[in-house]
Amino acid sequence: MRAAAGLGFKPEHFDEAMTSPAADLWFEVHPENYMMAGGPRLKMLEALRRRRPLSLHGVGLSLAADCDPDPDHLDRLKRLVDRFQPDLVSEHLAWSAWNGAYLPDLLPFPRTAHALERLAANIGQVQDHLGRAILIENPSLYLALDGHEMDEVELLTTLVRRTGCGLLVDVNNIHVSASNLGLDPHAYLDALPAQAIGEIHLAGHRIDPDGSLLIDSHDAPVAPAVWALFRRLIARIGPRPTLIERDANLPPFTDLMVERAHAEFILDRAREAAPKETAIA
Amino acid sequence: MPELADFQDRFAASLTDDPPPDAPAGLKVYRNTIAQGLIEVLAGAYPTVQRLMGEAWFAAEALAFARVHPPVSPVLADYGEGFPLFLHRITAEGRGWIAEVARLDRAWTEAHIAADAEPLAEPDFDQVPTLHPAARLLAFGLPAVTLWRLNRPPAPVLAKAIQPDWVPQACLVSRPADEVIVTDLDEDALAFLTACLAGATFGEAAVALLEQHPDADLAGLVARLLAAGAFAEPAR
Repeated sequence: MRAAAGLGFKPEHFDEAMTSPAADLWFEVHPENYMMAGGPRLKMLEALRRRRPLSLHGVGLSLAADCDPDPDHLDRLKRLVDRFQPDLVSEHLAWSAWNGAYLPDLLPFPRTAHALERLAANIGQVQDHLGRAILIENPSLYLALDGHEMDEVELLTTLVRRTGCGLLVDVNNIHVSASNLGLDPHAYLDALPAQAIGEIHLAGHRIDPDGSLLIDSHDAPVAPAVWALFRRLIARIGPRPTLIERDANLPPFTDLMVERAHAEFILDRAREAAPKETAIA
Repeated sequence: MPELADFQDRFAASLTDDPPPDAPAGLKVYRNTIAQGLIEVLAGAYPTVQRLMGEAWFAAEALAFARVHPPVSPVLADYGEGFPLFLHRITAEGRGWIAEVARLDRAWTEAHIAADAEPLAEPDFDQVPTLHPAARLLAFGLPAVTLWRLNRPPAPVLAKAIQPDWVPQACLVSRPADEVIVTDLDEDALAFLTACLAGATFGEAAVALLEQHPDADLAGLVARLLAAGAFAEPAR
C-alpha cells in the first residue's frame, strides 16, 4: 500500500468505488459492519478488496476497559483479517464495552500507570491473536477528567515502545480535543513519534448545540484548521496513508474524491521533498 | 476494586442513569452520541416501523428498548432481535400491526446477514429438504405483509391512509441471490412449507397437500418456492 489518500467505504458508493480510475486509492471499513455469517455486504467487500488496498478500523475491542478483550470479538476480527488480508488494522485508545453491555461510543479514561499496564496487555493480546501489529488511534475528548498521570502523547509513545504497535493519528481528533480541553494542538502533533505513525485520519466536525464544544461528527468536509495541522504533520514526517472519513450527511462520491485530491496534493509535495523517516507499520 | 474498573463502573452508570442537572456539557456529548447511535441502528433495522410511526415516536421507543436491552456486542448489524416483542408489549390493543410489521423488518435483517448457501435447484421427492439459512417463514393474523410492502423504504410515502383487507397473511423472506425478497404464501404454500419444516420429505408434504386440496397447483407451488430460494442444496 502506498502512502496515498483513501476513503471510508460506504455501500452506497460501491459502483463508483469499484470503477474509480484513481491511482493508489484505498478504502477503510469498520470490521464490525462485516461480522456476519454471509450475504451481500461481505460479497461487496470481497469485490472491493480484489481491486483496492483495504484497512480494517475497529471500534469494538474496547482496549482501555479494565478487562481482557472479548475473546469472541477477537475471533471474529481474526477471521476477517484472515479472509480479507487488510494492509492496515487499527483500533482506538478508548473503551466501549463494560459489564457485558456495549456502549456505541469511544469513551475516555484517566491516563494512569494502571491504565497503561492494562492497555499494553490488551494491545499485546490482540497483536498476538492477529499475528500482526495494529495501529492505535487518539480519540476525540470532551471531558476534563481528574487523575491523569501522563499526557496522551506520552501514553501513546510508551505503548508504541512497549507493544510494538503503531499509531493512527486522527488530526481532526487532535483539533477537537485541543479546542475542547484547551490544549496546544501543535505541541501535541510535534511530540508524536514520527516513525510509529502508520496512518492519518482527516474528518469534519461541528459545534455542539450549546455552542461550547466541538464534536467529532464526521458529517462535514475537513475544516481548514485541520488541513493546516495535516500539512504541518506531513511536512515533518513525510507522506502516510491518509483517510478522508465521512459517516453522516454522505455527499456524492465525487465530492469525497475532491477532498481526497486535496490530501493527495499535500502528500505529493512531501513525496517530492527529500525522503523522510519511513513508517514501521 | 482497581481504580480503572471503578472509574468505568461510575462512568457507564453516568451514561445510562438520568443525568444530574449540573452534568458537564462533555458528558452530554457522550450520552447523546450513544443515544443517537442506538436510535440510528434500530431505525436502520426497523425502517418500516419508523416510517409508519414517525421519527419522534420511534426514537422514544428505541431508547426505551435500548435501556432494557442494551447491545451486548459491538456487532450492531444483528442488534434489536427483541424489538418486535418489546413493541408487542407496549402497543395498545388494536395496534398489534406495529409489532407484526417489526417482525417482518427483523426477518429481512436476518435474511440479509445469514450464511451463504446454494439454493436448491431440483426437488428430490425422497429427501427432507433443508431450509435455506436465509429463509424465514412468517404468518400473521392481520395483513402485515401488505402494510410492510407499502411502507418499507424506499417505497414512496403514501398520501392517503391505506385500508388493506383485514385478513391473515403469510410470507417467505429469503435471499435467492444477493437481494432479500418477500414472497406471499397462500394457504397451500404455507401448509406445504410447514410440513417440510416439520420433517416431511417433499413427497410426503406433496401427498399431504393433495389429500387436503386435490386441486392444488403443486408444480407451480414448488417452482415458486425453489425460485424464491426457500431451500438449500443438501450438504455434500
